[in-house]
Amino acid sequence: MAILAMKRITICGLKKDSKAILEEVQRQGVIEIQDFTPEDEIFKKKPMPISGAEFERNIHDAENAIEVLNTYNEEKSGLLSSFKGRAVISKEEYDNFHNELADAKSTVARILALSKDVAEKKAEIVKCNQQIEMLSPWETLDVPLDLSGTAKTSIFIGALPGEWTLDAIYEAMAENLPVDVTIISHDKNQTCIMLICQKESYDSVNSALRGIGFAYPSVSCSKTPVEQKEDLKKEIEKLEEEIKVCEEEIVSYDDQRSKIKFFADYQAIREEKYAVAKSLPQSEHAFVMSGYIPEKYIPDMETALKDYAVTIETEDLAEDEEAPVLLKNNPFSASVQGVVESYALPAKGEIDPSFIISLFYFIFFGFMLSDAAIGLLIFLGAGFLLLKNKNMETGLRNNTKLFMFGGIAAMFFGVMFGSYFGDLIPSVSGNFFGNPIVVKPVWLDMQQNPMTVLSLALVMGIIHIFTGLGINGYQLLKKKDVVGFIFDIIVWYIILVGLIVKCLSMQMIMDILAGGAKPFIPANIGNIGLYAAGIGCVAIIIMGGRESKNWGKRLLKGAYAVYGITSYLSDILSYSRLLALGLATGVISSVANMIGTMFGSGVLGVIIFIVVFLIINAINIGINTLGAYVHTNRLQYVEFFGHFYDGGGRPFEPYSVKTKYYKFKEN
Amino acid sequence: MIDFLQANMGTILALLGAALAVGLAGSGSARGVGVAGEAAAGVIAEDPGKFGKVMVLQLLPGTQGIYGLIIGFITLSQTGILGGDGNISIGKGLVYLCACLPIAIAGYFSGVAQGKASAASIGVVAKKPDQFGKAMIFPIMVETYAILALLVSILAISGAANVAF
Repeated sequence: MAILAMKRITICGLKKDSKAILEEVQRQGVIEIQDFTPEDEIFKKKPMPISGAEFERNIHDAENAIEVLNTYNEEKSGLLSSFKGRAVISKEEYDNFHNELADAKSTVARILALSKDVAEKKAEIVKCNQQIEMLSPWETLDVPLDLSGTAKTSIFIGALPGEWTLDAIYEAMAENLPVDVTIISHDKNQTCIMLICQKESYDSVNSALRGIGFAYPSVSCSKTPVEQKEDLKKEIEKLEEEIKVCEEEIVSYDDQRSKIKFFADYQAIREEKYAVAKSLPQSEHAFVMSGYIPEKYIPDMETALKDYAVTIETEDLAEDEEAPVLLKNNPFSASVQGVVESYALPAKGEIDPSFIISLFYFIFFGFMLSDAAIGLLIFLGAGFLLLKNKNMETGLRNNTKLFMFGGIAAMFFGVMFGSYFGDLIPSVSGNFFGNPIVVKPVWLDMQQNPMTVLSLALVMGIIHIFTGLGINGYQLLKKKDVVGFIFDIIVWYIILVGLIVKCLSMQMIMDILAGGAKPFIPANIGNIGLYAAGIGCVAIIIMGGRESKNWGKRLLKGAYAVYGITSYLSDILSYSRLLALGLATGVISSVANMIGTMFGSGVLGVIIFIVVFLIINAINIGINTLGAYVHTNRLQYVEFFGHFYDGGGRPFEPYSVKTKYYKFKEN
Repeated sequence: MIDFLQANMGTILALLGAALAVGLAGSGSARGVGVAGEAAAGVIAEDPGKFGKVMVLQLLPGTQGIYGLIIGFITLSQTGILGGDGNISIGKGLVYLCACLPIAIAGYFSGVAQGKASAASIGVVAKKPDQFGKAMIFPIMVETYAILALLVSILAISGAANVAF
């Protein structure tokens, strides 16, 4: 089950077939390329004529082009579009694309050029607008701004800082009269003036003006400001017209979108292919490709390459070789594969826990959610997504399936504990129809019998932990560590079972857990359990530190190992969260029902009820589904994995078709 | 005033318990979610694509408030303050007050602590998004203690109904 067995594969082929073989292997996507064959005199790695950077640039360009298209014509993407997955295309479509490759590339280049054009023209418009802005104080002037004089006169057109009156300016110019000053406009920042003087007094006027902060305008033009402004406006209009033309052309490429995406994908495929080709040792006429392949795919690979002159050799891995890990599970267990993968892949010698986890996962998930109505909603929601999005990516599909199964489990436990949106049915029928319909839980009411449910939760925990311990035993046996199996596993079973038996024979424990019922295990059997546990502890004190040579050290280590019993206790108690979270869902829904029914049974009451019901239950579903998910994960990661699973395997990374937009149909 | 207190002391004590459970546990969650939210916003500024993951992490310290609400609500409905006559003895009121304390105290402190752990985990996701599964575990470790407190509060309250005073 579950971890695919890997083999080493070496494919040796003729160089003239190398392109076709590389493509075929890439399409199969089941070989992780590794350098098993060292370079020698004859077989050497050769640099490729095309560098990877070029592909990357093409991909980058294509993505930019799509982004440009998106700014003008956003692709329709619904709320649920992230579930959609990549569109599937066939090999024929892929092969046909070769003819359109150059086309797509030039389209990409054209779109990028156009968008650059648009950006430049927009900058130009901004510049024109700034100039218009600067001209506005001069609008009433009817001569060009750069007019510097006539035959006999000099003219100064410019601005003085701050607000000036005509009198003040004449006063400042008192020494240089005669001058003629016209104030063209003024505000509190500047006063725009035109000053005319005799040509011979130019220098003195100039210095006098400088003295009071005169400055020529920052725009200059050979036309009158009004005419200049008209020109600028026309220029803007022209630019806008041009932008429109560019934009229209960009939008006209909208139907090329799929081609551009294809182009990007094609480049990505080639990039990977060239990266692999570069790493292959080759002689004058032949090349060697080597790597890991899952054993079950070897026949497929052989069939795929049967038309080429190749030799395919496979060999078993060395004893201590760490192969990359690829998990494969039945459709049900695959749904929790993501949970395992996000913890860690199994290391060498560990099993893939997906299958065992899938047995417990949904029980815990359902227990924590434990509401039939909410479970149904989650089931329907996840099922709907799965049905609507056939192309959903594998990882996402598995996670959606996880919630769908979780929804089913929540329905089951909801029925068992009689929770349908908490007490929705009795409170609505009682409030609005005056006749409460009591829905009897199939098993018992969690709120009325918390201790019973708590006991159940702890029993589930004990089963879960015992299973984990058992798997550890299995792994030890597989490693032929019989001593470890006996003293790290069997003895712990004896201690734990012994203590549990002893506990169940004590009146005190029965008072707590079973409401004062008589212990169903007689006291003397309980004592046998206690003695067994005691012997187990002695065994652990002696054997727990067996890797130490020094007996003193060994016994101390053993004593510390016995202390590990507290971790079992805390692990088991940790499962009490099953009860706490199970209660939370129902109680929050009941809060909604109670608040909603406070306003009577009139029309207003019904409206308030519906609003309150929707808001609180929406929050409830969100928080408690999240809670059930993360706490179920925690029980797997901490309590369960803690007993047998460390992980640390390296994921299998095959040489394959890694595309962003399209998925290729396997033939 | 004295008469009023004498007549309603039980109810007042129970109400105080519910107020502490909801108020303290809620404050803890608010602080925790706040701290985590600050970290989350920082990540989103760099990479909006991580929104889903960091939001889950931000929400984790939010549960204490809900546990407090549960205890508060059960107290209010069992003592009859919500939909009942709401008159219980002083002794019983005191029992309810005490029953509310675990989730009030542990809810507050675990909420704050969990928020810090969440913020740190959000930092993990910012650098290594594929380590989300492990990053999620650290805040969840803190939550255990809120759950244990919730459990004792629930057991105490459901036991309180049977205490005769």
